[in-house]
Amino acid sequence: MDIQIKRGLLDVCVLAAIKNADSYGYQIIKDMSPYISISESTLYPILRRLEASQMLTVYSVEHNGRLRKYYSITDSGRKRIADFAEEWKQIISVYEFITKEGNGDD
Amino acid sequence: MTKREFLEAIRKGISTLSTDDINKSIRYYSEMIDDRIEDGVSEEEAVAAMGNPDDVIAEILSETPSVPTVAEQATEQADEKEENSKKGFKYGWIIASVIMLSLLVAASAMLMPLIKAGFNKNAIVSGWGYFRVDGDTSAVSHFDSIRIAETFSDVIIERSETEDC
Repeated sequence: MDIQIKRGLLDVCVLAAIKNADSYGYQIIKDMSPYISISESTLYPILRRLEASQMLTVYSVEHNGRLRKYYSITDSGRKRIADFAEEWKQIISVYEFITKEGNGDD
Repeated sequence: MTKREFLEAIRKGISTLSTDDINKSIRYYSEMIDDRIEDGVSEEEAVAAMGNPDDVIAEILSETPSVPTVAEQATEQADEKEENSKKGFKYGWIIASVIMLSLLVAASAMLMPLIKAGFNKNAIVSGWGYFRVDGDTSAVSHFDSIRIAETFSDVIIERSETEDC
């Protein structure tokens, strides 16, 4: 996938991965992997960015004698997903234009 | 590479960041490695999955917003220089003021006898100087003593070698 398009998608995909339930880093990577690959080093700045823009909040939970960070989506985060879905409708119409058969005289 | 070696390499590589940013990054990668080990892979494999430490460091450095860029650092240094030159300017003024003040004190110390003499009629002062006598400016090359009569403008010069202007 084109790196620019992927960059734009990843933020929303991370939000989608915590949309239904709070989740932690490794689980987010595993949940995303069937659709889009993301490495630990790519996920880290995205999580920090989303936290800074208040699209998610972070809390720690003790797990096996260590702390694990959980990420929870906010209303702003949900709105970001909804806005993205709305934008995507326009992208689909652009896609149809790009892939249309013929020379535009139909 | 062990988890410990990996995290140490990361810590070293991002040492220019704030302590908070360093600790956050270390905790994140520590958690990621532990979660993979818990999932059933070896420590070595879990660390390898994080990628090359140099790439991880580069990624953190490029994405951490609190890192000042080279351009920002240059601006900061320029600001500091300007600040220093301003300070230098300020010190210059202080030194100049001190010099002026000491000159003023010295001048007033030299003038003191004359001023005193002005108040104390018939006092005798001596030294070098110019005096206006009867509306004419006369240069006095040297005077041993002058008698201050009624006022400064009415100075009687005694035993002096007077030269014309």
